[in-house]
Amino acid sequence: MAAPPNQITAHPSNRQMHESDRAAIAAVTAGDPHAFRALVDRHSRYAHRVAYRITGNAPDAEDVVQDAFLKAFRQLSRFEARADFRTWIHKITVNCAIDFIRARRHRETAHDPADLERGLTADVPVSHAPAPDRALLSSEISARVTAGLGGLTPLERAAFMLRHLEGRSIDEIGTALGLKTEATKNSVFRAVRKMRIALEPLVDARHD
Amino acid sequence: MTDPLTHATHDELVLHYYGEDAADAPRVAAHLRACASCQASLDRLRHTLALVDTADEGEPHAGYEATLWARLQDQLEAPPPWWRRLTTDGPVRWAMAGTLATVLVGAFLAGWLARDVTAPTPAPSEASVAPLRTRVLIVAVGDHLERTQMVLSEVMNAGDLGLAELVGDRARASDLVAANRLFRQSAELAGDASMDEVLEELERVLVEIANAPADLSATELDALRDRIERRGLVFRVRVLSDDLRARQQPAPAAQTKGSTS
Repeated sequence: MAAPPNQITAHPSNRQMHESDRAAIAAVTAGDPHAFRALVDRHSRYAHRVAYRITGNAPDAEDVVQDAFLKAFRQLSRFEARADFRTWIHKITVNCAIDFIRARRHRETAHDPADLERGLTADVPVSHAPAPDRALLSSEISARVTAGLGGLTPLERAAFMLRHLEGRSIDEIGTALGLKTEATKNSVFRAVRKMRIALEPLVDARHD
Repeated sequence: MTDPLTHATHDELVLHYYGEDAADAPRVAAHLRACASCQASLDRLRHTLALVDTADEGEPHAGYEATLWARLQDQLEAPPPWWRRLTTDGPVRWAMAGTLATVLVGAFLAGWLARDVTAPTPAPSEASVAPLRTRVLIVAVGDHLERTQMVLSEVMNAGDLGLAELVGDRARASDLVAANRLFRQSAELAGDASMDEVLEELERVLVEIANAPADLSATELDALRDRIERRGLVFRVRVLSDDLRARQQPAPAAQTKGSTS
């Protein structure tokens, strides 16, 4: 499997952070639940970003992060002392986000890429100015990326983000989301198609 | 894309970009070297997907950590509900659950076996005790199946952390095996063939989980899941569980006959 092209960087924790995490974990496992707050303070914002990329909205991401930290607290005695807490909470957060997406699969609604195309081209005009202002272009890209991701169903988004950002293989994603390999591939294909519809006008404009 | 002259499709380019086209990769790569049009399509795809990396990360509000801690704190400090303690607090609780099951089954078996050797009892009394014993068995087996479903579900859904999580499941499965045997004997004595059959299947899988090696590999875990899936065990346990729940509901009151107006 190729290396994930765009994986969210799990910032390597510096030695100091590693030591503080260890101290907090030792205190919690020794019976002081309040020591867990140090871990929440240090890593919850990062976990929120991980969850948000998969769920696509803040309230869901907050629920996922809450679940993830609760699970981490309950399993802290199993945490390997030499491991990195951030890497561990990253994995738990992704798994909780997957559980969350699986739990609401029945609410999945399909979107037609053609509808998305009509909606996007109407809502977000592409600037063809000869020398577009960098800030303007940046906000235009941001708007189109947001609109493109907004056009994905929760399942498509999860499958795509797990493949694109988390570097999970199609087989792993299928197992995690409870989909057959072909269905997983199709979710990723549909997501990429929708993102192309949303973003290719920008790519074309930049290369014209 | 079997013909090297045929252009790569959208889906083939996506698989190639993500390195998911293991078998086809050399052929697609060869085609891309020879076909400027497909190479341009792949470049376009690469540029497009690179833009996704700039996606809004939904930065949480200021003070998010404090809000999250406030939400978590209540749950960290509150004792888990009794049923959760039975299922998640380790071998001691499971042993307690097993003991409770043993006592219930023991009481059921004692009553069942004693019915033929005791002095004749008035019919109304026997009639009123037998349904009670059956209800005790139904409730006990229902609880047992619920706990078993949790173990099966955790084994089936274990992700990257699953191998570590199975350590707890093995201990639980070991406790469940003993209770399962007792329930199976009771079901056999009671002549409940369908319950007996499911419990027998269940016992085999629980023994497998209980005896799984500490360094269970991902392949072995997959094989175990495959056996559970092939036997349709999760589904059968759920059906039996639903059936038992239905049997716990009181029967509708008999209608009075012959009332005259």
